[in-house]
Amino acid sequence: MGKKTDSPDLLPGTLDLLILKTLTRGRMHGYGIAEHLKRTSANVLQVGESSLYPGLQRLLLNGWAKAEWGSSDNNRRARYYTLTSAGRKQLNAEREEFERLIDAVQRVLQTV
Amino acid sequence: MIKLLRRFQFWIRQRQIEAELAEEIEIHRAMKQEQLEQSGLHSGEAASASQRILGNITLAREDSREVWIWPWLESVWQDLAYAARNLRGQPVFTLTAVIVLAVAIGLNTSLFTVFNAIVLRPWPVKDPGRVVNVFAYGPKGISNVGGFSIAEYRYLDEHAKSFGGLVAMRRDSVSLGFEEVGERTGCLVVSANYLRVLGVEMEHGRSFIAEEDRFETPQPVTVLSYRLWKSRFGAEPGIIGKQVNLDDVPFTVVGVAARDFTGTRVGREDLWIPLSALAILRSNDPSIHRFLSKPQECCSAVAGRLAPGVSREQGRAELELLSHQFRSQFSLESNGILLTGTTFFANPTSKRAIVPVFALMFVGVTLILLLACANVSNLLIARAAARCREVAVRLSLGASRPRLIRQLLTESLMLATGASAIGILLAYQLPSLLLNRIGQSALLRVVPDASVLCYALGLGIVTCITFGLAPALYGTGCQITDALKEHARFPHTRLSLRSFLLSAQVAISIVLLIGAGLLLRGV
Repeated sequence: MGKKTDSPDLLPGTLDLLILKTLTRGRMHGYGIAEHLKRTSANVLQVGESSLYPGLQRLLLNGWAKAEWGSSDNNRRARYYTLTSAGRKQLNAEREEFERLIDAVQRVLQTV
Repeated sequence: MIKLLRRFQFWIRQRQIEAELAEEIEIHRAMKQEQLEQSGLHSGEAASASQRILGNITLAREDSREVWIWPWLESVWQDLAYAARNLRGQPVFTLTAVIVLAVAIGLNTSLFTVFNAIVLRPWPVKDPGRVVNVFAYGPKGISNVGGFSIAEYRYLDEHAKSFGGLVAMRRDSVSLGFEEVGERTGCLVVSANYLRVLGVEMEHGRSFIAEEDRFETPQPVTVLSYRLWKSRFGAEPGIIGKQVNLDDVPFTVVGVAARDFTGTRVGREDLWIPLSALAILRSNDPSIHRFLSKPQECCSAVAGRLAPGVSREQGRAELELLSHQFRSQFSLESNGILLTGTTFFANPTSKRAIVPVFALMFVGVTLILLLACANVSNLLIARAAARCREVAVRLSLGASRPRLIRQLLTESLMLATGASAIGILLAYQLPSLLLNRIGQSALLRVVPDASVLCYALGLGIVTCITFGLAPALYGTGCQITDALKEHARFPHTRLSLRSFLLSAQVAISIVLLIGAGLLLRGV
């Protein structure tokens, strides 16, 4: 799943992980997630902020997040995403997996 | 599983979900634009900058759709291709299974075709939904319905405002004179407005006019069915105005009904004569006079076409009132009125007669289908045992069990679909072939329609699950470690499942044999 949907600079599946992590901050809409990602990382969403949406759809499909329409601070209609408990579990699993991977890569890089 | 359900949900509400996504992205862009404007950009510039920042929106939407659809579709396609390859690799098994299932499904569908033609189809008239059968019932209640006397019918037809017209009919039969001795042609004695109220088109000539149905001045006129005109009169175009002998009484042909109109009675209905013409046809039968005039005489079937905008309940209430008025004039007990649709099934009297017959036959063909399922199941189980190794290898390579079950079921579904297709072909041929054999080919128009197709396909799916699920569960249940060993032995549950299937087969066969034996003796 999710082969070419991620930004080419990211490891496959990393975008989902980042969105999951971002959603631990609470209910957020797409714009908010994009802003947060931009602030905390230097432009992960390089091919454009809309590439966030396939990732969000994948979260919905897997039941890791729920979406509902609401109104934003300045009374604009927006769709808010919330993490589900399955999403939290998935986040932990993916995080571990990711750390293991990075660890392995690091080790390879450090050995001569 | 839940994921599958969500995908299905997406499939149903695809348009809405995609519209929501588009709206969501647009909101995102608008927020971006606002932010850019606040930081001092022109609104035009901000708009195009926000476009740029969001990137390729169309691509994002397409990717989103793929998230929902593609991987699933891909895996279904994989399953189908794999199943096809597998089945092609074992042509004998495939052929046997498909033929066995096709015969069973074909029988079932054929029966349903007949059932559909007789029982579920409304009268072949214009706008059949507005046409109702009218029944009267006495104090014994709704389970005991009957018809009306001709006198009462005339009163109702004359006064009822909520109907476009009421018609009366009585079944009879006549000899056309040139048939073999004893053969009789079905004939319906009807009120003059019968063809007009039902909206029957005429192939030639005209339908009856009111003057031809006066009790005082009966006219010997008849309208032929298209079928009779074709089979007995060689489709002669000059038939109008000619005389035909009905029970040796000359009648004038005034019209030929359209081809599509096969009558309102299941069975032969080949010509129509006006009610009062009975007095000519049966001139030496004194009861005819009573039948045509006395309000106590019973019974003719009555049907009617509801006037536009009138509900069944309004029509029923009016008829009940009129019937009460009429019957109190002759100090007869007043009756309740019941309106039903014109399918055979809606008619309470014919329903009682036909339901047990069809129920029995459906039980029979269902047993045959079960038998076929058990047979194919057994074949599949034998094959599953042989494939245990393959399944074990796939399981050990990380395939999940539900995924493998789905794959095996796909194979079953392929078999069942093939069998359904052949079964539908059978259903196109078999019923008319059988009716031909018993010399009743003209009796019914049995042509499979959409509901028959749905029935056959539904049957295919149910069949697939019936014969495919147990072998699939069993086949994926083998112990990996045992199966991968050289001299793998099959799990012994096989024995119990197979012997269960075998005993079921024997049991069903015996029931069918006894049933068939009883039927033969009965005939």
